[in-house]
Amino acid sequence: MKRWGIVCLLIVPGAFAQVVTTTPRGVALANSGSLQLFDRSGREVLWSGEGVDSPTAVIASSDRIAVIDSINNEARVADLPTGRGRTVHTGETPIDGLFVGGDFFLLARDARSLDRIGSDGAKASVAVAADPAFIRQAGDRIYVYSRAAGVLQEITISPFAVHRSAQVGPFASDLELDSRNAYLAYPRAAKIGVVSLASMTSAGNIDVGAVPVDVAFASRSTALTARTLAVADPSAKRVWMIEGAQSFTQAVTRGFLRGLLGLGLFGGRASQFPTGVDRVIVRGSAWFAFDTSSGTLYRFTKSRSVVLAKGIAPSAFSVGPDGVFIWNDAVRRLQRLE
Amino acid sequence: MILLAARRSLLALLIAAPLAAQTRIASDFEIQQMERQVARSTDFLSQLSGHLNLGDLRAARNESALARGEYIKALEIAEKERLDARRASAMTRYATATSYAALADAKLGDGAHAFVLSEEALRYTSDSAKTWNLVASTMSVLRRPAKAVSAARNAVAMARRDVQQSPTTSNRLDLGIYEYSLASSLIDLNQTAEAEQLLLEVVTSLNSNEFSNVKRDVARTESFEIYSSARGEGAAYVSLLNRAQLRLARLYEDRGDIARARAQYESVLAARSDDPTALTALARLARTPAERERYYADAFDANPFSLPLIRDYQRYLGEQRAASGEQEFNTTGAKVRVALAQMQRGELVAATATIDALVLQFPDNDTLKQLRREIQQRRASAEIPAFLRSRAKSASPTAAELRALIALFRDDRLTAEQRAQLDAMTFISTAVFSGAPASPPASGQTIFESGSIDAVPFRFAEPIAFNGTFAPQTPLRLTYRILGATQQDGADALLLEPLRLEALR
Repeated sequence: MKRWGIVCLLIVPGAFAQVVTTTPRGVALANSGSLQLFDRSGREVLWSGEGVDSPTAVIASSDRIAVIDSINNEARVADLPTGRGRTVHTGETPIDGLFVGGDFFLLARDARSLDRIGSDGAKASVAVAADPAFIRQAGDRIYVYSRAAGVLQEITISPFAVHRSAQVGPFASDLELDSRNAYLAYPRAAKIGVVSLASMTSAGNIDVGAVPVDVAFASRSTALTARTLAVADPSAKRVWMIEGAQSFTQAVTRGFLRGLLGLGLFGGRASQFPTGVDRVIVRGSAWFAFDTSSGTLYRFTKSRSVVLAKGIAPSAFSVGPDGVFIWNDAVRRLQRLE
Repeated sequence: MILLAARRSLLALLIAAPLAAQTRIASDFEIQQMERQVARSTDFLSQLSGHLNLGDLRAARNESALARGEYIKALEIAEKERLDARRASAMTRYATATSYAALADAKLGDGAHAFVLSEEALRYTSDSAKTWNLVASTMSVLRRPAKAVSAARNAVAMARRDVQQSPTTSNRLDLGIYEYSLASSLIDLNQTAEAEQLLLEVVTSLNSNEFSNVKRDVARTESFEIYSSARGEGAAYVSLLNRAQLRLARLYEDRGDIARARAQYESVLAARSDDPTALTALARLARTPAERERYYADAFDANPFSLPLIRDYQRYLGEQRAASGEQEFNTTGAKVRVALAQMQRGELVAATATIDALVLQFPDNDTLKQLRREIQQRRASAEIPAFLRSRAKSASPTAAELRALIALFRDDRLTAEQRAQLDAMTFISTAVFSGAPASPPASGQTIFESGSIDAVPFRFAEPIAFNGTFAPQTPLRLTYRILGATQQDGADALLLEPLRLEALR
């Protein structure tokens, strides 16, 4: 607690052209036109290479990294150890991506396509439903949620094709997957929608707060509790902790065990913040929340929150196993907060 | 031009004209209305739409510094509203403010910030056609038409569902606005067939009985103002009909369907007689020179600072021989046309004077500054006439050489050697003398003071009596020396010393 409790930075707002991401090999920083990899402390530059004009997202795997330019429809895909790579032209508005094996899968929202970019630069593409917003992986499958269409599509990697599609409800603001379920945050309906990946059908809804916007997995399931979801709710100025989906048998068993042990479920069910937080990040046992409107980054527990930094852009910080890294635009430096 | 709907409150009233004694520029009224709205209102949407509209109106007049100032104010208002809305846990309000902040940022040229803010708004209100339309507008301002088309398609799809479920006038108007946005972005992508279909649907719908109540209100209130961010159904209706007809007309014009194009432009003018875009277009499509002159005159009065109009007019002048001294000077538009005609004739010193006088009146106008730069560049690059580089004792200069010489005199760019060469030379040209002699000549003599050589004006230092009887307005052979540059009837002219005058052989 003492180690992280007091650090607070005031940073000049308005820096939107930097993206910080922690990778297994260090901390990546994308600036306009450049991509750099720092060591795990964030102090030493391991390599510096070509980037994209307006970086909007950085995606990394254990050995590769991609920086996306959603505005100019470009992506720079590079080897993480060396920084050597290639810049590729993408479909309209690349918005998110992930690495599977040697391939980079890139979601192009306004092209309504999922592109596969091989390590040799070879490209393939599948059409997805209107307004694809999120791409996630579970096992050997890729899942794409299309927001306006309200469609969740399961895509196999080999062959690269849409395998199943399900109508799951439109206008979700976040998607997270575990091995069994997809969780979709519906801000307007104040619900978390649960979709079974096995059947690609709804497994029910969980009522949460006033405007649930962002979801993260806070804990794995135990004998006493189902998997815990942390849900950011900027309207309630809270992060709600809720149980994820569980089978009827699991729920009855866990309830019985809690009864035997005399435990309630999350005595302090939510964390209160001075401002409304709309993003939640979980790294191990550390929980972080972010208020995009003021650029305030918090670290929190079930009972309290502490401000770590203010005035930072949503993409200008990253939480990794080696600490919290932010881009400080006032001094033009990458900084480690803890 | 984008069009946004925010139909929740009324417009404010007229304030005193800042351009007293000037013929009104078409957008003066809208500027006055918006300045009044900004001064009197305190609510977010009135303040925001006021500054966005003022910025757009200033931008349309090429007053970029003033426009930027308005967009900065709009951005500040939107950013404050974002924070206020978050404090109040009003997330839809926050998303709306964030969308407008994105739009203001785009107008200020900050594409990266605008994109991030648009994405942020969509997290909360991706179910809102209005949010998607604002994203489309933002992308359009950032010149990302493919992104704008995609966002506009989402807006149109949602609005069509709304109309199906509840076919109210308000929902129909929203649908029309979003279809117009989609069509505009499709045009930017050269996908004109779908754009034309959409615009035709919009115009047909607006002219149908579905909007009879709105049309009655518009007629009753005599509404005619055009805004990019219109407030109230009447204002939105008038602005949308105007813009959709102009877009449709331009599509017709570009594919050579002149009759349909004219009909749409004339329909625009029937609702608003001083629409500069329609007037410019009708000048382009005029059937007679007199009609063209009339439309150009009206278009310049409506917006003297429109660069597309100015370029159109310069092309027209290039095809014509621009006559001098025929213009009336009582409007800003006429003065700009005078300057353009002077530029066309190569009267660069006079053009500078005309533009400088306008700059004093409109110091923030970029069009005037640009025209001044163009004149200065032409003056600076005026070629040294070939005869000054030779050792010749006489020459018959061309009109271009004489105009270049005037510019060189005005800018004091003649070297001592060139001046010596000029002084040593005599010139022979065909001259036409103007007017009647200044005083009755003695018998067998004719007195002249001024005239022109190949449309380049000249005059003598004083009236000169020539031996012989010569008629004015008749080509005569004049042998002369060139003394310098001067002014003749407000135009640049050469100051000549006559040596001999004789009839043409």
